[in-house]
Amino acid sequence: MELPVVEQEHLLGVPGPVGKDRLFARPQRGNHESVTNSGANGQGSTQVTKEFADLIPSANAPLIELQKVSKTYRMGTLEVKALQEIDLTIEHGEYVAIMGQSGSGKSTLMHILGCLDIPTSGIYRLGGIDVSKMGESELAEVRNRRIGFVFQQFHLLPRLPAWKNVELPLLYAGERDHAHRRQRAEEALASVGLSERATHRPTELSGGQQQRVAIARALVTNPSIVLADEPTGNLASTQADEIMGIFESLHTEGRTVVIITHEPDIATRAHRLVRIKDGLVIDDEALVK
Amino acid sequence: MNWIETTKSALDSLVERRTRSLLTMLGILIGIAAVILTVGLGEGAQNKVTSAISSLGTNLLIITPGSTTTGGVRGGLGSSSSLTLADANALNSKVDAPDIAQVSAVLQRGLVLTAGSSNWTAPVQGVSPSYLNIRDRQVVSGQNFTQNDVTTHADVALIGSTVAQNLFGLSSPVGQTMNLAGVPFTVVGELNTAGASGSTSEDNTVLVPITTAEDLFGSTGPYANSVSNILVSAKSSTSMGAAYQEANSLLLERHGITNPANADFTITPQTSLLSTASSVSKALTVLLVGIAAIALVVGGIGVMNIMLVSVTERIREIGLRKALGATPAVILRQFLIEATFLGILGGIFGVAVGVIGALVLPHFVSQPIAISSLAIVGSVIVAAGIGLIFGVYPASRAARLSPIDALRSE
Repeated sequence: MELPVVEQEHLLGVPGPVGKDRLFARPQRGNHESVTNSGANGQGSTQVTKEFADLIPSANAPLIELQKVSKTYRMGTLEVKALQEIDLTIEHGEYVAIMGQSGSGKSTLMHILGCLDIPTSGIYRLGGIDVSKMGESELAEVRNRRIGFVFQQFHLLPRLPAWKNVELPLLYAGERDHAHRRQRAEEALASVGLSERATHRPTELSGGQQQRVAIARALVTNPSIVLADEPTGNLASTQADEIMGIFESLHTEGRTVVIITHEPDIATRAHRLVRIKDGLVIDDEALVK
Repeated sequence: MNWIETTKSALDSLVERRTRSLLTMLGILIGIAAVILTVGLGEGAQNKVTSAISSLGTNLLIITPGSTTTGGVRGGLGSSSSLTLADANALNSKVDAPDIAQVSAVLQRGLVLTAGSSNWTAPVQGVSPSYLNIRDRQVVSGQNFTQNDVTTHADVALIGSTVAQNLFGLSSPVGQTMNLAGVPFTVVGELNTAGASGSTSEDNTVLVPITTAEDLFGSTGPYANSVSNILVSAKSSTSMGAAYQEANSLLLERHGITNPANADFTITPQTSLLSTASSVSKALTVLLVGIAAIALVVGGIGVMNIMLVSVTERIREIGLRKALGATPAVILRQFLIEATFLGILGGIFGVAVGVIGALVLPHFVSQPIAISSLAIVGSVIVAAGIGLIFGVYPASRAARLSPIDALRSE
């Protein structure tokens, strides 16, 4: 897997430069046959196609595939093993809660799943692409195109109106058409029921509304995964209910939702529960609804 | 994120922190205003000196007696009386000095002038009629005296405007009589105004035929037959060198001097005055610009300081932008644009303040300040460059931030 991306493309005779759209093409929901490149399908059959499976997003490959992923932090002379050889697979359209107490390693797991950080060892494939050796700029692109973040503290820019906050990922995606950006931002806001609040600034919105703006921002690029880190941690229970309702409807629409939380109430609303303790997966169960 | 969007975002953030942005710009502003003013002062002084020297006349060589060595002591310019009227006449020879167009000896004393109840003191210069041509002066009313007046030692005079005003007030001086050291002179003409050259006013002067001046000043004593200096004009500016050589060799021969190093006179071409004057004002400009450059560097450090504060303050915003897909290059670009805009805006305001200063200050100090378009364009570019350079460190710090640490920080 050490070959540069361009050469790999060349091997297969794909004409033209490596397009971002090709490399990070979003798998279409509900379409498990093939994506952009047929070479990505026959995983493991020959040397070439095996290599290729790591580079081209594939609908057949699991959305998230962690193989013996470890993360070690060095604090002075002390080595902290935040994750210890975790194996985890999440398929398209799953609704997963990752639960653990603080210090369990769930935040580290979330950072790695969100491509905010890379593992110390092991392999992380996102839609079949190995992202565990990527550099800063490449990771930024993966985050932009494939991951929608929802944070506990909302992280909205206070001076921008709601629609401009939602528009931000499109700016970084290089979407040049201003009218199109605004339209998509407003559609995303409509999908969380905030059409009327598009021009309000975050300070003029309630906590629940702010978190809905943040969810709209996570959805605007139509990412593979919505990754929510304690999304209800700063909300009153009625608002928390509202937000969880939105995640459930996202799941019903076929989106992949991963929620990281320490609250059992929240975690048990998902359809699959992964428990983390001391950097290890201690339990992984499907929740019957 | 394209350039336009990045620039918008950078400007938004500057406007949001407008007080701080303005204070940061102040450092650059002061530096740039100082550059505009000092360059303007230097250029203004140079223009003034250049025009003063040009007003002395065109193609001018000034021959002054002097630098004789008396008992090992070298006197200053004009300390000897080595030049005579005969020297001047010899230089006027078309055979010996073909490149010399006109010659006028000058014999000068300060005298008290009286006319009716008015009196005035002015330098009285004995000259040839050609003096006016050599010095590029004109007679505005009346007429120049003639070669005949020189031959007949006529008691006639040309006066400058300052003298005319002080002796005759508003009435026309032409045809009037004034007394020079008790001798009555008829004013035959008034000179045009020429302003000052150096410390002497060209308008406070009385010109009389050189022969008359010799009579007037007395032709006995140590200065008998000597003249104050000889003015020579070359045929054209290209023949200045030839005229210089001819005058030099002719005078050396006439004074019986074999070693040019022992010459008892000095020939100063006008161009050397010009270059001396301009090199002096250049040195001054370099000094002042150096001081302004220090001000600019201090301003640049101010930009860096504020940008570092801004990065620290916006660390969560940076983290969020990175999480949403901003690459390090995009973050770097945004902060560089912010810093560069601080520089450019500081530069533009600085130019405005400098230009206003250049227009207003000359009313209070008697020093002209030139507004140089080169300095204006150059200083805005320099200001932008300073913003950019001093923005590199803060911007690269922002670009290198890890998104996790940035998002986590409180």
